Amino acid sequence: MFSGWNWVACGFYLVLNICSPDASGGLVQSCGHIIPESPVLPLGSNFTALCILNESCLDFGNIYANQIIWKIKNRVVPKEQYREINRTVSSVTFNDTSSLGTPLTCNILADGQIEQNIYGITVTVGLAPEKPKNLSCIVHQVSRLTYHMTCTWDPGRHTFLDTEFRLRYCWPEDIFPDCIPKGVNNSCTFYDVHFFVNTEIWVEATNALGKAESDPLVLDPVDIVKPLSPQNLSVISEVLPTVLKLSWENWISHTVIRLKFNIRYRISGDTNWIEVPSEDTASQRTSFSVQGLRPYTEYVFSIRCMKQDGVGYWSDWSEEKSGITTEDKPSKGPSIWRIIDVLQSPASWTVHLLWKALKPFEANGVILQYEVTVRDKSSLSNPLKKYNVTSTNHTLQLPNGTYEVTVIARNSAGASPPSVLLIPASNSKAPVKDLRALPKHDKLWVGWTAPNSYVLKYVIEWCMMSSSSDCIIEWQIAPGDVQGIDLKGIKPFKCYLITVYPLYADGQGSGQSVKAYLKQDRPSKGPIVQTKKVGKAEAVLTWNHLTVDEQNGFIRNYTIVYKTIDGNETVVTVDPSKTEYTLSPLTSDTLYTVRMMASTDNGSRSGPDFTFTTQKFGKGEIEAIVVPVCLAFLLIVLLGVLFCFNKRDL
Amino acid sequence: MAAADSPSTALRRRDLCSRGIRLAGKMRADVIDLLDAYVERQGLDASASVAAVEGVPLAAVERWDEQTGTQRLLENLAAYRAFRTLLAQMLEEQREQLGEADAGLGRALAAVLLQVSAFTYHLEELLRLESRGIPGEEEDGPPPPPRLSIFEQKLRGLGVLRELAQWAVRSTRDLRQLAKPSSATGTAPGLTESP
Repeated sequence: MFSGWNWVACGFYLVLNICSPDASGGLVQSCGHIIPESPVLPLGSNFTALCILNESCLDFGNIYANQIIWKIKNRVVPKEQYREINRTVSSVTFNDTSSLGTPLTCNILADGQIEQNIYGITVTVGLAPEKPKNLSCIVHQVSRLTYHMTCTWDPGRHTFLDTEFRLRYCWPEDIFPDCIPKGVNNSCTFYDVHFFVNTEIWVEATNALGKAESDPLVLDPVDIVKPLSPQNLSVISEVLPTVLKLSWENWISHTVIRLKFNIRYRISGDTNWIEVPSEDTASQRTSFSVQGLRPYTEYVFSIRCMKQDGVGYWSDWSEEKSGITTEDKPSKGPSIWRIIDVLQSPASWTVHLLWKALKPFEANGVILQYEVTVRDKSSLSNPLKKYNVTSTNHTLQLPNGTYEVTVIARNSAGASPPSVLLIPASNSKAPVKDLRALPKHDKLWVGWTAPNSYVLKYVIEWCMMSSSSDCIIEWQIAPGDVQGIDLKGIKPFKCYLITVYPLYADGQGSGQSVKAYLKQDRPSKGPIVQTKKVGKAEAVLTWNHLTVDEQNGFIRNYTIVYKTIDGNETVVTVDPSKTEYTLSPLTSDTLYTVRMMASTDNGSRSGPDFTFTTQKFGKGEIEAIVVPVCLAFLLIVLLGVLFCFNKRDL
Repeated sequence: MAAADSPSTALRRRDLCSRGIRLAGKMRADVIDLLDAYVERQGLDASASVAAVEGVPLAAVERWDEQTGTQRLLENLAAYRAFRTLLAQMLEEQREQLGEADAGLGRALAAVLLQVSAFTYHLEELLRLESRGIPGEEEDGPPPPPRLSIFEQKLRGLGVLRELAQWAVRSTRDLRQLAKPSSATGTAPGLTESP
């Protein structure tokens, strides 16, 4: 048993050691130590540590190796892992360092069951570095004369230890300073790059458990260059309206690499790029003329470059630059049509000439004016009339006749081919047949059967019918070889009047019309019904047709619903062309309620209720009762008077 | 008579010549830029004529077209080895004179020195391909020149850079000649031309 007195002596001894000037280093001398000191161990390996007691500590009495307790942090290592080597040395073995924590301490259970720490070590567990893989490098041109080479690699598994990576490169006869990554473990940049010499590059990874080297990369840095994109791109309009000339500066010296280029362009506002064939730009240059462009169109250009032999990397696309091609004369004349008013006088027309503005790719510039020529074909002696117009319509007063109208569009580069419209005195030629109009998704498809004769083109007119505004005509031209077109911009629930005219070389066919809806709905209002005349057993109902704005579709029928207060409803269907209907037979002297419903293909809407009372007596009934009654009374009076006279006589 | 080249040897020679020509081209461009900076930093007159400097190999040669390929390579090798020593000396003198005050000039000189080293390596490889031994660099070397004044050092530096630019042009011509398929290093060109 370790007596209390011995403990006091031990403590006193310790204090003396601390205070004694002869104590080594001024610290308490430990009773033992552990070897190895602060080891670094491979994960999953086995490990044995030894705790060696100092002889001096044995003097405290009853302190032996078999009293040693090993601990990892505060957890006691199982005794099965201990081995007593001798009186002063105890070992502990771990078969798998994965379970080993830190610190590992050697403790003694002295007499009195008091545990005291003798020594401790920190244990670090980790992995040797894996061979770095996938080493690749690229030389970025940073400025005109400066190149940086950045290499990246796959550092491999996490080692749980401080692992140093170094990127090394050398020539066959020269070694250069290593590149040490900062803050990362998978890339590094050299700021001094030399071309035209085969350079060997590799990565070394080192930590306390070992070293690994990647496979070397052997290359000439000139073969992995990503140049700066061409600078100061400018776009110049040329005399030809289909050509724009590009010029730029190459910022990489031709002594380093000779370049090839990619040029791409798009119409301003469009997102699709078109590329100039690469074989046309496969050599060192500072300018290029792009051909085959549209006149008077803004194009956006961008250019990139790389080493001419295709070894290396493309530069980034340059900053975009725009240019506009010069104008060209319009490629075609405008489509022409006419609306003729004959209301004022059949012998004199008000002719509204209309034409469509050319699309940009047809106009090839800004249209400055339209030149309209009207020739009276029915009288060659009449002079040609010419008009210069800046709008897309022109109104003329013309006597009834046959006219040939020509319209030319003119811009600063020249005039379009002429467009010609023949206005015959009458539309006597064959019209189209089987005209129909059907909804087709969001468009209205208009179809017809062509006449037997050859048609140059068709003109399709359409307008939205409304009770509150004029039917403003829109029109479109279709080629002579089609038999249907789609009309766009048609509103749902609105009635459109569509007319198709065939135009021939020598005349015009009469217009065929059809009404159509893109989409129908139930009417917005129901018909307002009232009585025109009410009898004893019948009533004549009358109503007005719904306006076209109220219909929202073709009215297929009217439905009349009438009933008495306590009677059943009676339903009658009426043709949509009617505006009157007679209800019979009805019960006399009875209150009826009636309402009307208008129906389209997409629903119905009822109008307000109307009440009426049938008459008690029919027409002439009262007379038929009163007159005989009066006559009978008269007869009775007469008979009475005669009887009285007869009696007096007697 | 040189033995017929194997395909791999011919390919390697062509590759070395091609890269050597490009390196010579870049070197010349860099030396021209360096010359401008050197003249300005050292306070010299750009048009100053410099007498032939002792130890600086001259690029001009008589009867250039009669030289064999091996002769060209050996002359180039000797010249660039000399330039390597001269440039290293210039670099040291420049650091002593200007110290860190003109690190840009020092970096440019060091870059040209590296290019000269690289070119020397190309020449040694070409000679190895010809199965020629590489002449060793003279260990003793010529006796060190007498210590020059600072001004004389600057003038000598000017002469070195000018002559190096000339050599870059000559080396390009030499390598182009060497790269020709009909060129065999052991015979002078013109004697083996087929009709």
